[in-house]
Amino acid sequence: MNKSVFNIFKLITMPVLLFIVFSIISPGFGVHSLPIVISQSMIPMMMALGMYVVMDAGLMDFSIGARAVFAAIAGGMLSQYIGVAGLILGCFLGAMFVSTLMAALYRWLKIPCMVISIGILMVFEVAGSKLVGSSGYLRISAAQSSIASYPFNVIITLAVGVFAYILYYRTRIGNHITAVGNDEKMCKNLGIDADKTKFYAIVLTGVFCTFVALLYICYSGSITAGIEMTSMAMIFEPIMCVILGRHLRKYVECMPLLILVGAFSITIIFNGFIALGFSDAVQNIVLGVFLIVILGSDVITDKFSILKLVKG
Amino acid sequence: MEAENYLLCVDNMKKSFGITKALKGVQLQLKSGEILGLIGENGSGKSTLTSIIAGIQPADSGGILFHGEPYSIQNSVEANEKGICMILQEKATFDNLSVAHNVFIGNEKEFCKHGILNNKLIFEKAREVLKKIGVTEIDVKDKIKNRSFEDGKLVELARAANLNPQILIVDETTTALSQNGRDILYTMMENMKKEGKSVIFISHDIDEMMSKCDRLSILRDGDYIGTLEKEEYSPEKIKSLMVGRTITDNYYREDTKSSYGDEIVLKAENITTSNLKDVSFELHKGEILGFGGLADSGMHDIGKAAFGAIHIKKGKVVDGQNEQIYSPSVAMKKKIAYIGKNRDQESLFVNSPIRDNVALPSYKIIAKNTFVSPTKERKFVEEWTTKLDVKMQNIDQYVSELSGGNKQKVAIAKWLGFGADIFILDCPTRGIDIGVKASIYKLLTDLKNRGKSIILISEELPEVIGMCDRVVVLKNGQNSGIFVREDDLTENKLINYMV
Ligand SMILES: Nc1ncnc2c1ncn2[C@@H]1O[C@H](COP(=O)(O)OP(=O)(O)OP(=O)(O)O)[C@@H](O)[C@H]1O
Ligand SMILES: [Mg+2]
Repeated sequence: MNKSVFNIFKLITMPVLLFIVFSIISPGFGVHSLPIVISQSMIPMMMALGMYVVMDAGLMDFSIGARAVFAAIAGGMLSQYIGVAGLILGCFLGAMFVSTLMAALYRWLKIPCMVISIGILMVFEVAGSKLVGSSGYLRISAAQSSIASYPFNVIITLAVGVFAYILYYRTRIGNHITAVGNDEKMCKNLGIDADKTKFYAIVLTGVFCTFVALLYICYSGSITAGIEMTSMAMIFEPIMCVILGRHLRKYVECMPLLILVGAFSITIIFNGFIALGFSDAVQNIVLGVFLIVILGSDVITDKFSILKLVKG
Repeated sequence: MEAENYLLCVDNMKKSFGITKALKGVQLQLKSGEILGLIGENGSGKSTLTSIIAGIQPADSGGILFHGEPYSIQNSVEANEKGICMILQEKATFDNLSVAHNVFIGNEKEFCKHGILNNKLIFEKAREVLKKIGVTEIDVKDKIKNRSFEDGKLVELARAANLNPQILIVDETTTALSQNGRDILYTMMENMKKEGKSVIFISHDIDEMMSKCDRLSILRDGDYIGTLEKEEYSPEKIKSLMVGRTITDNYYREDTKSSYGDEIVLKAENITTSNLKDVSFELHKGEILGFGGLADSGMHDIGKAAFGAIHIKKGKVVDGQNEQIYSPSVAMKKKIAYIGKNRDQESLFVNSPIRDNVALPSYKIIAKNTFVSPTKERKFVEEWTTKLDVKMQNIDQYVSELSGGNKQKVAIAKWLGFGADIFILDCPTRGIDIGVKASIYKLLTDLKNRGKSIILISEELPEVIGMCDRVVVLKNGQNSGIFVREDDLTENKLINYMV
């Protein structure tokens, strides 16, 4: 078998094994949970696809959740006037507006991206909650939400995954983003405008935000405007996916696929533990351990030669 | 010859960095179809001058005529477009991109339609460009981070070759290359010359300069000293013009017999790494053990393995007490020091001051009950930077601002200060001028005489032969011969075992 095909195969065994293990140990978890698991992994995956762009450029962003929520609110509002078209258009315009604003601020003010992203997060959480008014949330009709619920959410995410693949590996801007993340000074010597590249990187996350917003509002048919940095909690799972993906890229150089594998695995663990009736705290502990084990797997396999034998 | 007859003419160029006057009114004339050598001590302004010509930084004042016309550019891209291209002294490749993408980075136009790259064509073209300069064994799809430092430099050569420049500037690149890589570079330079194009070549190797360059311009401390025609070349003359005084010729150790203690201080037992196969060696007290070989010989892995810095698949490295060295921190506890070839990435924190770089491994020596006295630290750092004659404003200057050779001196100062018992040096004199080279060799001899042990890995055979008690020649990752220091050990003898 071709080596990279074999490696892809090896990677896919991770979520599959996790799924089998949880199906066995937890009676409430099984094949019937699959649609939920798949649906639930689409949002973190989509966010991770966007976060990877900024992280690849060497930047850190906390605002992608807040931007997506704001975009979803914009979509929800517009849907009240022009239906599904409004939903999509609203998500797109909302996401692109905030993302471009963030990119522009970063470029003009030259403050670390992390700081700008926290500012954006706080301002647009509040802006979103003002838009939805006192009820605190916004509802869309079942017909509208069906456009991006299962199985369409999967189709959309896979399509965006393909788009991400092209962006990361097949475009000039994708290559320049990687180069800037590597060494900005060298880029300058080679005629790559680092500031401009980072600007575009942030703007491009708007595309992913659009779809996060769409999936998010359609998943439950409503969107709640959170304040006090609640959107921050949304980003940890995607960050984990990116970190996992980066770690696994030595097996196959295809970040979208790796992010998918990461998102699946994490969601399976989450749901498996919910089915087992564990508390949030325990879930988080197990997830943390899982992450450390995967990232430390090289060292661990070295230390325990039994595992080495298993690895072949 | 009138100014208009030169291809490139630099006049009265000045450049200062704060109080450092890197160029104090320098001139330079380059003819069409010649290889012009640029030589001078570390920090004399060679890189500054050439990087200005290549558009990487602006001059404070002074003019450049190119083809007899005023040449003014804003950045390196414009310089490239006008036909001037430079291979930098420092690494200039991107780790996370493939070899092929590194070759064409910044010049993707040809492969790009509406922002989408034709990767297949990029890989194909990259293979072609590399092949044209004589490199065939690099997989263009491989990421740079999986390739050696030398491969990175070859990729930079390919990048330049692809631009087909009128003037190619090669800044201190040879020492990053193995013999094979050098031949590739020389051929490229010769071909350019044949086509009527020109090369500005910077190196500290006087023999190399005399054999490759048609004329030789000399800088000293930011001043232009003069230019020698080929007939006027002599090593003594060049050296004295460079340094401003005559310096002696006996560089290397004077004794011709190997000498070292019986005690074994470091032992590698059948080590296998990704580039080495089943290599064993013993290092004795007071011994300088050399390693030589071609680019793919795996010799750079020797140092990393002995320092515990890379994964050893089979076998192990142990110290004199038979305790295994499996990580750099263990190695340092056992007073082992390592200077890597990829200086900026492996040996220095370039974005920190010289002070921190030199003091870092030695805080145990400097500190008293966990508190570091700033005065003591300063004295310590100044002592070692003075010993190595680091050219700097003061010890708080950032390492990134130093000239290439002076960075290397900081890396060496750091470990000498640490007072290691075993030194692992991978190409320690890379980019260092002859004056300092001589003092480094003297230092090594002193260390040896004081019973310290040294592993010297080097592309420079004369250096290995001149300094080592024993020389191990590696070939394809395997030990292919061991030679003991003696009068009639010649380069040819070693080369026979390399290829
Ligand atoms: N960015 C900078 N900031 C401050 N000083 C600098 C900077 N670049 C160069 N210098 C100083 O200018 C002087 C000349 O440096 P340059 O790099 O041109 O020397 P060089 O001749 O290339 O030396 P080497 O042989 O070591 O490469 C040095 O004293 C160096 O410290
Ligand atoms: Mg230099």
